Amino acid sequence: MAKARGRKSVRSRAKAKRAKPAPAKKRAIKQAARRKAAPKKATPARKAAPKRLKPVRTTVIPPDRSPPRAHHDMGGMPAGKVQKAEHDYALWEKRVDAMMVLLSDRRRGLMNTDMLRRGIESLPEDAYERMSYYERWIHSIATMMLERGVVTREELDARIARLRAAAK
Amino acid sequence: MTVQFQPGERVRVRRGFPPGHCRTPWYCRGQVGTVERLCGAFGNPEQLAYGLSGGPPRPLYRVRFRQAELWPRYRGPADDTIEIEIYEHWLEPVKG
Repeated sequence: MAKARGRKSVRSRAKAKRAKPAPAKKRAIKQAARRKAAPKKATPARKAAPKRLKPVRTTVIPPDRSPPRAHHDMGGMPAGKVQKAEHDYALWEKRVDAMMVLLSDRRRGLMNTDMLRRGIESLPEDAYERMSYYERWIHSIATMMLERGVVTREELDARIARLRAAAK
Repeated sequence: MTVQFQPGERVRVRRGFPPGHCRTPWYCRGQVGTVERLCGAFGNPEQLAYGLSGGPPRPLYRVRFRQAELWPRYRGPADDTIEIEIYEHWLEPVKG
């Protein structure tokens, strides 16, 4: 709103500059026109006085409209058979688990289960499906630590590049 | 802690779809169930998920629903139920 008003005033100032060398007669006509237009102009100015933001109603959806479902919120959706086979955890998976425990401890307090979930839920649908359990975890942990400024994108990228080079 | 609902009371899950993280499953929103028990009070996960304190603790209930009411084409026994843990601020009283 304020932006639009600002732009308008800049434009009218430019117009005024251009209109400067007008002859006396023409100026008189213009002034009369301006006087006529004056009451119209006054209305929006009064309207623009302190405006309070209306509360955004995002939580109510009409009953006839199918409500949106986030991809992760898949309870009751058709799915394949549950794979009951156990598997051994890889070292990196154990490390991810340990990292979560250490970041969440009382002393650090940098992470919690709900943050972990939020990070996982923010994954796009295809990534969510492609990633394994602990891949989702480490994605979320990294996202949250970037968000909190515990690590920077540059630090993370540099470390990944170093580990990739060492693995070759 | 003041508790709004007692075991045995009928409650309706708010039919809300707020942005951000929450723990109320999509499929039970707007549905009516019965309070089975009070589980205790816990920090609000909707705030904790953003690194906020999550306080004050909010009552969490175990609410029992009839499967046949949640799923229109449910083919299991008619008296099958499901219990979902839901925070108080997601529940509304049901009259009668």
